[in-house]
Amino acid sequence: MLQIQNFSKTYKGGKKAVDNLTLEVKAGDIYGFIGHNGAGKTTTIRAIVGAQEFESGDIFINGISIKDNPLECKKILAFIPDNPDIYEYLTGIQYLNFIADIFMVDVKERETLIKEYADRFELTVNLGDLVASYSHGMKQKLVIISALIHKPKLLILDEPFVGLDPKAAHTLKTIMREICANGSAIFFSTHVLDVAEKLCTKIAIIKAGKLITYGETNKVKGDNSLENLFMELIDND
Amino acid sequence: MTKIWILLKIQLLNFFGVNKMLHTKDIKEKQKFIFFAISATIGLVGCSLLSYLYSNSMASAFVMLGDIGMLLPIMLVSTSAMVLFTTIYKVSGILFGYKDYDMIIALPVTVRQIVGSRILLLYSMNIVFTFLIMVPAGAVFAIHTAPGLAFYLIFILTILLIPLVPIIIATVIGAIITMIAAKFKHISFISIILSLAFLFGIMYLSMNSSKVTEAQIIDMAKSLSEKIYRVYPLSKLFSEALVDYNLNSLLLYVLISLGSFIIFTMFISINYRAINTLLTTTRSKSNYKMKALVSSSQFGALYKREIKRYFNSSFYVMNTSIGMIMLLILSITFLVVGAGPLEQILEMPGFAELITKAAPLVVSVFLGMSCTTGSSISLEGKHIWIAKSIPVHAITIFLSKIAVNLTLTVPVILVSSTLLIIKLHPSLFEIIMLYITPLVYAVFSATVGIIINLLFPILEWKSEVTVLKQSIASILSMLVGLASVAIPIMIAIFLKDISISFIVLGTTVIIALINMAMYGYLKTKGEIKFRAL
Repeated sequence: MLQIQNFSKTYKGGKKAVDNLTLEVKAGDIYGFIGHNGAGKTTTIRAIVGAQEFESGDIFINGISIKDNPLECKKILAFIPDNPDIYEYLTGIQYLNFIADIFMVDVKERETLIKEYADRFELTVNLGDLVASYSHGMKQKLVIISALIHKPKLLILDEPFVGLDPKAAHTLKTIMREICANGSAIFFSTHVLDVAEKLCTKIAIIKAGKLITYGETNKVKGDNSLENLFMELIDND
Repeated sequence: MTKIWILLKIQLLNFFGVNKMLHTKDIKEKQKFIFFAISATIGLVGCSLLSYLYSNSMASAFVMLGDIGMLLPIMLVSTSAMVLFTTIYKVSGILFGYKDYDMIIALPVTVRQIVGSRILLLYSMNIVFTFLIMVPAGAVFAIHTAPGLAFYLIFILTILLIPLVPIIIATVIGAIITMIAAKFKHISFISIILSLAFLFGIMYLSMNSSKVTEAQIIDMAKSLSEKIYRVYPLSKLFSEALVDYNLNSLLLYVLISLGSFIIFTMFISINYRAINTLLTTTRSKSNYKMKALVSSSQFGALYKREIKRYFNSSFYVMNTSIGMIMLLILSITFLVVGAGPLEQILEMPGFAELITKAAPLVVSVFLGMSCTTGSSISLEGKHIWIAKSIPVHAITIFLSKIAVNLTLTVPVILVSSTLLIIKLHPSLFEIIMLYITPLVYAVFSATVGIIINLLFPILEWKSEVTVLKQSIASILSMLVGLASVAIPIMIAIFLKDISISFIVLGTTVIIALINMAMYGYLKTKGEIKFRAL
């Protein structure tokens, strides 16, 4: 579903954010992407969703290059950024309807899916209010719903649990498992190692732009806890 | 004072992307900034020259009337009026309701220091324009009167104080508009209505007062000075201090300007939190029930979003609709009073001939002032990730922004051109050009705005004012729009051998071709530039 091949990104000024990253996410995977601040997680994620230009390597979504055909890639993926900055001058329902229009979701289907996910995240009563009146967590829920209503094959999330209350975080984890069971794939960054350990079928750890380990969660961590493994790898130069 | 300066410095660093330029390692970014700095310097020198020429022609008239002393108070009133108008719409966004309010108010600084830094920011923005008008006027006055050293000292002191009182008046009006609007559900809409009502009121009064001037030609200088002093009493003190070297008047002028400024800052500080809370509190009902949804095309969805964004910001609307408001007022006045009286009202010699012969170009002049697209990409700000990650070609996004600009300009063009046609009784060719030329210019202004904003984007900002008033893109797009019409008008004025119809037709064809080239650019390079934002 997602193939990252020899991806490198150097920012203007010479800082190499990601160095020759190669990774594959298959349908059904919940893939955790772990690394400390500034390791290159967000740069990689932004490149996957077409929000970040890059000079070498390529990224394929369902076999289509994001470089050559970004539009076709964007049609089948959904992105949830680390900060839910959304149009504050729209109401929640106007924002969801806008996203549904852009992804050309059938009217009946969008109504059904919006209701389903808004109910699950307990946001339905707030959908008529301006996004400006929402708390951080409510905005995060709205972005998550907007990402789900067009049934993406690949869901890319950057720190999705930040700002969510425990119940919403649980709902999100359940939904993540559901959509992957239905053949979609999820690639997400997180600093919450407990969540990654319990939720992810596969993990990758990135340090200073380079992938230092990846694979099935159980095999990567072995008998160790993910936290111990992460600390060992990060501290070990 | 140190804390006020620290707070002010942080805001000043954002002016025209100065800080970004200072710290960027991207050579292209630096080149772009240097290009802008050179263009801005040329622009400022040009404006100073125009200001000097204007003051000089005024001075010649006053010399004939035997009262050169009127020059400086008149220019003081003009400057003050400009500061007043341009500051009212900045109050909400700079003084109140800015995005980092919560962060700033949590810092260990007093409210008075925050208010002080914010008002000083308004002052810094206005002092540039004050110098641009007053320094050339002072030079003209000095050339005519050869004053002593005292004049120069008093002049520097007094012009530094000029923006203070207009800023206070503008802040009071701006705050009243904002506070009334905040009590309603649709804050921006009410704010736009109140601001427009204020603008129309002032325009009506200024037009009426012009008529009085025409009627009092017998003792023009005397009546003019009396009128100026009545409109703005501070100008009397200014004149007495500067022209008559009256020390008492100078002291009173300084005392009133500085004293009212300090008292006002203290007064605002008392109510600052309450006003900001009122402005930043958003209503929520939390009673929504799922209803049937209506779908739109991708373009339709983007257009609807863009139009909501536009009307959500009273500052955006007021800043970009002024050209269309002026055009509408001009064409209605033209229909009612005709070309000659309109020329007298506007105090623009040659205007009657220009509007009669080159009406399509005159209508087009106002389009540069109503360019909404020059800041539309920057205004995406932190939301840019949405536009970049949705499956839509960038050209569709650009077209939705252009469509919003045309929604503002096209109806006004159609109404104004029709009004001009009714009064001018033009030929069929002229009728066609009166519609076609401004429409082609409307597309030009909207499209060039997008390109300029793509070249000079600012996506990191805390107040819309940064994007709408202090960004390279918004200023350049307005200037390019104005220059594109000014050039053919200049040709029409100076090359009288060339038929004006030919100039209008030629210009329209050239602008239409440029429009097509710009569309091609946006479809190809524009797409790449947008993705690289």
